[in-house]
Amino acid sequence: MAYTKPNTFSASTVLTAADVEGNTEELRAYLHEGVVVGDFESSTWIQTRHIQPPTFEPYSGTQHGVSGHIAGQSGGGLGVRLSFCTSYLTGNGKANAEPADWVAIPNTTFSLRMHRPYRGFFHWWMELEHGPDNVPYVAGQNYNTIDRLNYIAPYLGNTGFADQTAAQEGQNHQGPGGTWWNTASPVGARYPYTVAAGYGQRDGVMRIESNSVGTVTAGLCYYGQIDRVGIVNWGIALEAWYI
Amino acid sequence: MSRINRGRITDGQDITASDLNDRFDDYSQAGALNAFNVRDAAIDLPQVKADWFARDSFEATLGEFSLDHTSVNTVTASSSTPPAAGHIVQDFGGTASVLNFGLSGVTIGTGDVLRVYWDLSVNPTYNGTPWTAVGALGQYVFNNTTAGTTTVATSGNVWVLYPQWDVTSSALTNFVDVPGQSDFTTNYTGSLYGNTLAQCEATTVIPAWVQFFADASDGKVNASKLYDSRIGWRGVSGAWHYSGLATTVYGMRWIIRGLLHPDQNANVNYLAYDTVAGGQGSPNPQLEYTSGKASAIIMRLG
Repeated sequence: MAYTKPNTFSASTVLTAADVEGNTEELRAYLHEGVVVGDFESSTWIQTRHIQPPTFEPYSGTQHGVSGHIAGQSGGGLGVRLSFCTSYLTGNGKANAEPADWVAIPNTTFSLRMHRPYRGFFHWWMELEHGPDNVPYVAGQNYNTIDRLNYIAPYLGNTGFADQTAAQEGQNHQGPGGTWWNTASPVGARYPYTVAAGYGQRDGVMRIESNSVGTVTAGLCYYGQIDRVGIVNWGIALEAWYI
Repeated sequence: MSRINRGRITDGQDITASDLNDRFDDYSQAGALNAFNVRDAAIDLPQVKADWFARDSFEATLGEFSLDHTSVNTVTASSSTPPAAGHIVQDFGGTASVLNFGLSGVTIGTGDVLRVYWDLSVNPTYNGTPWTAVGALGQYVFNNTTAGTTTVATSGNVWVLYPQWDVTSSALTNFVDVPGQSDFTTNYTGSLYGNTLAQCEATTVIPAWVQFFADASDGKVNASKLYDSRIGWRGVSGAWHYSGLATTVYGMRWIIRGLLHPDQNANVNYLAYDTVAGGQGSPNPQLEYTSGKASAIIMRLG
């Protein structure tokens, strides 16, 4: 039942500490164990976000609490999970080849259940080796070897929403004029990737914000014109704050 | 139900019976436990209040996207002293790319932080060997394997990309360098201009070229095995944050400058204009760029 003070004060009477303390003690007891349903305001004001416990998903590296989501994954160190981008899945990147679309990169996606509208960032970085790709040039089917690119882009939803303006490219293994690779055994890149434009890190940040409640997917995809791009190491992280 | 928001009894104040009765009777009202009395006033966890942690966010495209770089913007290195004005990142039509915070701007309070991230697709180009010019900062002389000397590149020449903000009005006509960042035009000695490292807190550096050599012998260069290689198209990125005096920000834009090279003077490290290297080749060294993204979020620190 609702709180009722045990002692009522009257004018011109002695105010005793016991009376004051008695009322306070009764209030303490009420707030600890005496609250009943009728004491609450009838309209709903306690929402899921106020009472849900925090959760942690070890496989996806995702922590969810009342404030939102924080998540992180990486593919480096002892557990290196070498991955690839390849032009064979993107029609050599030519507009008239099929498929010529953005392709998701394995393991670089978060799918999160949003309980509230949110805003935040998707962070990513990758260590990449581009080519060398000396597959002969064929007009209309692929690019000149010196012009072959591989784009990495973040997406929100699915790869059809790849943020092309935020795409970061790398070039096919380059080298000093005409001497990029050995054509006799041992065949391969003649110069180190680190000084021939073929190696490097790419990274970026994508803003995410939505008033929708539901499952949201954020990840990385690529658009490749190079036969093989090695993803040596990578990391993705996401912060989504409820608003 | 009304809010239980009765002020506390203070020293020297008279207490009447009704004062005390009212204070306890506040809790006897039906429906007393509402959002304010229990959630906001009693618990008051910041994370259960709307827009508490992440008050607002913004994004903008820098430059303009062009698949396969069929169109590009081009910045030419400065060869003059003092250095030429920086290049404002823009689309192919010449319209500056601005991260716009709206007509009212956004106020960064004393307990807030403005976090800003950016990236841009770039391609440094050059002709000849700009680093071998007399007076270029980016040169180094090695003994070579034929008893002579060979001038090589330090490969330390860079382009820079950094943000400016407008904290004056939404007209966005008063952009200045953000705190912690300067414009590389301080004449610190002779004909050299640049920033101290402490003035480069928002600087993204982009390598201009790289040179390497093979078959070195006893620390000497084999001049016939000296190669320089293109940097190639790549994405570069940067980040900066502001937290301090309350400020209203209306917009941000980005500036490109080059060429620069590390330098040291009077025990202070600088990133300085290399206008000698910047004036070599035809055309002079250039930076091509297409598109990128700028993102910002305003958050509370606690």
